[in-house]
Amino acid sequence: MTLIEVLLLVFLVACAVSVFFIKRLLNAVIVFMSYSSIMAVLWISLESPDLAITEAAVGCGVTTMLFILTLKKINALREEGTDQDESTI
Amino acid sequence: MSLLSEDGKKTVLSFGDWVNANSPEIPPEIDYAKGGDPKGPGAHGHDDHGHEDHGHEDHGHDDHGHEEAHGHDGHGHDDAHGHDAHGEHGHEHAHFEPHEIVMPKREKKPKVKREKVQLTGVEHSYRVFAVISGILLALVLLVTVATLPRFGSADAPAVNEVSRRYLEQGLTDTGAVNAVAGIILDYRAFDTLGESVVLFTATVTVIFLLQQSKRKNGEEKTEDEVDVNTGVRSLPAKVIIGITFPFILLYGIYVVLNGHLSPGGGFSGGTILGGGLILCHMVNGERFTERFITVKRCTQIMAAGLFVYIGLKTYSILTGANGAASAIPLGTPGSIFSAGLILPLNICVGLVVACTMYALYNLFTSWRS
Repeated sequence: MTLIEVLLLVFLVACAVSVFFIKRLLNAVIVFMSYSSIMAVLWISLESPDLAITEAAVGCGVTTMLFILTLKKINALREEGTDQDESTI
Repeated sequence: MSLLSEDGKKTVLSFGDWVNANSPEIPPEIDYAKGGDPKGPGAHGHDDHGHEDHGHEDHGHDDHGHEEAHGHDGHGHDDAHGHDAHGEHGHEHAHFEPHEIVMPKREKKPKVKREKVQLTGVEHSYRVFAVISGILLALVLLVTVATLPRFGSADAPAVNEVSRRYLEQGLTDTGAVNAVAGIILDYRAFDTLGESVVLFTATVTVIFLLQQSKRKNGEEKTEDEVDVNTGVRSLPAKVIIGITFPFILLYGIYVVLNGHLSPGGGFSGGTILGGGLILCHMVNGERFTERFITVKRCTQIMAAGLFVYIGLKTYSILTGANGAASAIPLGTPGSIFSAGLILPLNICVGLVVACTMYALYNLFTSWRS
């Protein structure tokens, strides 16, 4: 295991744990997305590029979009007290 | 009062008692001032106490009211000042203006400590149980991982005659340079069919559910009643998507078509295509994307893809089961027209996945409860 893999693994665990402790849902979704991108890199280092592509596309791309859509639908994207958000996602 | 205490809003209750002495209609206002935000009114600064203690005091509240309320104020060490201030003001003025003055000071607290309050005894035991079972699960998983064979070791259970056969004979059997594509679309093509059917079923279910709610009163809702995505107003987003959208689609098509030669294939390429469409829909809005793809067309494409898939695999299963040679040539390994049925199957799966992603997103966007 090279140094970069150790770093990635540590960061992976940090991301996974910190999702639970982040209060703002949008930030949690973004951290979750970074978890997926790290996982994609790790899949490549495990010599499975097929999984890496799928992880990047599904975990990092589509899941994030669906999560953000959900947050938008339950009005969780808006910061409390401000109502500047009128754009549609 | 008993209503409030049922929810375990102790501080509210104690305040309610204060208020009751002064004016009967205050509790909601107090609630708001205390919680800092209307959505989560139950959040107070009492988190560091034992929860059981709170529960006891709660019961006490119902019976005694005033005395217990006093005691409670003593407990709230975080908010002690605020409480006392409130109390005094409450005594002086029957109307509760002071709360609006005090409120900004404690705006932030509820956000941080919201979840820790409001636990009854049962909920508390649930939480303890959840922590214990979580730790146990983590331990079991860690032990399992520790006993796994090393990555790539020769005596792992995964290294058996099946995988050896796939690796040695895969190229001549399937003609696919990418062994993964050869496995999932030739040896195990039936699995892939099942996965595609799952996606199709999910989309059909979502369409069924959400379009039912669209036509609630027997007539279709007008545009005002349905959320129509009009896109974002941000110019940079539009420019960036305008530039990258063709490349995302191109890359998705490449991943789908090249699935038997390089990593990728129907699922990942289809997801990339669907993601590109979703991004375009996000930024440019429904009016833009409905010119080339709609939910209805998505379902048509998905059904067509599934039927083509089933037809092709039926042919190859029939010929294979009867020992007949397939009429489809395997071609030269490495060229784009090779690997027999894998290329058309990849295209089918890619279309199904892309349309699933886009249709799900589109339906959820336009749905309004």
